[in-house]
Amino acid sequence: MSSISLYSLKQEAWCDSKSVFRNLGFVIPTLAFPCAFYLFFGVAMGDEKTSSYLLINYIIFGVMGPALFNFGVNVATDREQGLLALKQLSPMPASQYLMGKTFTALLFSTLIFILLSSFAVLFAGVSMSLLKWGQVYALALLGTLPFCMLGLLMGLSFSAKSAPALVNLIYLPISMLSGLWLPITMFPEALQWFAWALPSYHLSQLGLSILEMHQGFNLAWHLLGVALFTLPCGYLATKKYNSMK
Amino acid sequence: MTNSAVVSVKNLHHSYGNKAVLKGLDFSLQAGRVYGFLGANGAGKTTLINLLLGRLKASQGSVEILGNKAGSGAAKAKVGAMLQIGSLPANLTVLEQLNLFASYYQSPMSVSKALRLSDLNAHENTPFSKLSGGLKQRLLFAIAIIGDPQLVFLDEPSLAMDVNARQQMWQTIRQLKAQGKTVVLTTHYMEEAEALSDELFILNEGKIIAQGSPSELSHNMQLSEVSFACELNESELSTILPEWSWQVNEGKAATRCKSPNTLLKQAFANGLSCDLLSVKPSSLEQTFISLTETAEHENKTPVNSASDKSAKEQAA
Repeated sequence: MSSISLYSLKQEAWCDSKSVFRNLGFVIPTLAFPCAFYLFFGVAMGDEKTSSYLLINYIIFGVMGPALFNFGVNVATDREQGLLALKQLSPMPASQYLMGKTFTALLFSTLIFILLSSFAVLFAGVSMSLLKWGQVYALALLGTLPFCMLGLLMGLSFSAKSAPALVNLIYLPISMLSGLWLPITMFPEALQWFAWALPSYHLSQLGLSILEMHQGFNLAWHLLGVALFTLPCGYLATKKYNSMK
Repeated sequence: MTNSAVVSVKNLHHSYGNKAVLKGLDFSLQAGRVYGFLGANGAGKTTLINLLLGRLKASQGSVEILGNKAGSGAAKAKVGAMLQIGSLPANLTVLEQLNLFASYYQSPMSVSKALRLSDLNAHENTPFSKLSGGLKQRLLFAIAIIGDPQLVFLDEPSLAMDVNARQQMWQTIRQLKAQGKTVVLTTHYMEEAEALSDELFILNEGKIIAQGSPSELSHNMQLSEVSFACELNESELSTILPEWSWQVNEGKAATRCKSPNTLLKQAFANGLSCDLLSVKPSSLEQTFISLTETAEHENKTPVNSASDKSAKEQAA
């Protein structure tokens, strides 16, 4: 990558983040929603084990939102308003716009990790080694990507008016069916199998494995589950993005 | 075609499904000139601009921008475009938006120069959402020129601007031309096209039906606008002077014709007094209307027929 591209990429990422973070109507609920859920169900109502278990699940839940909304809704808006066309007319590499948005989603993931981890340590007495904290953080970052790809595919496929409703329509059911709020073992068997199709379930299991609280399946299956969701979504979104002029 | 052509279009056809939108265009655009593209809605203007910008792939023919295929990376680096877009990121300031777009180019214009040329110095720290319609247009113009392009596409550049801002924009476009840039202008304001364009292309149903400077087009059409005070209504006037198409409004009759002498002789011979008589060369707007009406009529009726000649004269 040439120096001009690096400078431009930095500008793209910085501008996208500034644009999103200045929108307090988006930032506050996006951060407050998982925090409030965790403080209520994970801290106030649970013991240390429940707090640890829900810490992982609410981090996954928290990183899904900004990735889905920043891509799903903002890409649809940029596309319809003509901003995407204006950028595509410039010599900017096509991937740069997407990398800028991914940077913003990762920034949100970092904030959610910091906030929820702080609550877990300060109010619920959750403790783990620095290595494990690092692994949970890495998982939060990794967990952002499948939802960036899904959000991008939605943002390129649906109108700016329908995108927010559709993102909400899949965000909350996916969270529920992945066992982020209740363990999937409490669901009917058919729904338990459905969870295997969802990246959030696999991310949750990968995160819980760090605390040795997962269901016990081979972790390779969960990594494969995340990849099998992310790669086709990414492929379809990239194809759609490149063909869109 | 000369080697110095900034834009070279050869045998350009484009269709959407079975509907042919552009039907074999050939033209070239030179450096340091302003070109206006006029056409009614559906004439193929937007499709042509999209093909020039590389946003569409032509069904047939070629488009080259400074020797590069339209839409290629090399072409994009030399082209700036002001599109009619709904919105830029609402929370970013003018300065931030310009810095971002400047970063896309290898050798951009300085942001301070773009601010000065678009008269946005006083608004550099204003977020896009707080700008008025005219200021938003100026920012889109600044974005179009921030890459210091050789070729600038301006789509309705002075839309929503007040008179002063429009004059300022026109002045800046003339400065770009003086610097050797080529400007392609699409506008519905005939006054703007006439004031800025060195050469006009008039499109109708996917074809270029006329090309030339605004004065050449009016001269070639040899049209005059004749008007006088008249107490008759349109049908009465058409009965007396049937060769011309009349409009009567608030006691004033008006028509366009190639030979005012013939018209006036017949009018006087029929006893019309023609008070408040006015004969003046046709405006670009009238020329445009006449050209498109004539072209549409030619498309509908067989060429060389007697009725066609008569209809052409009537349209003129």
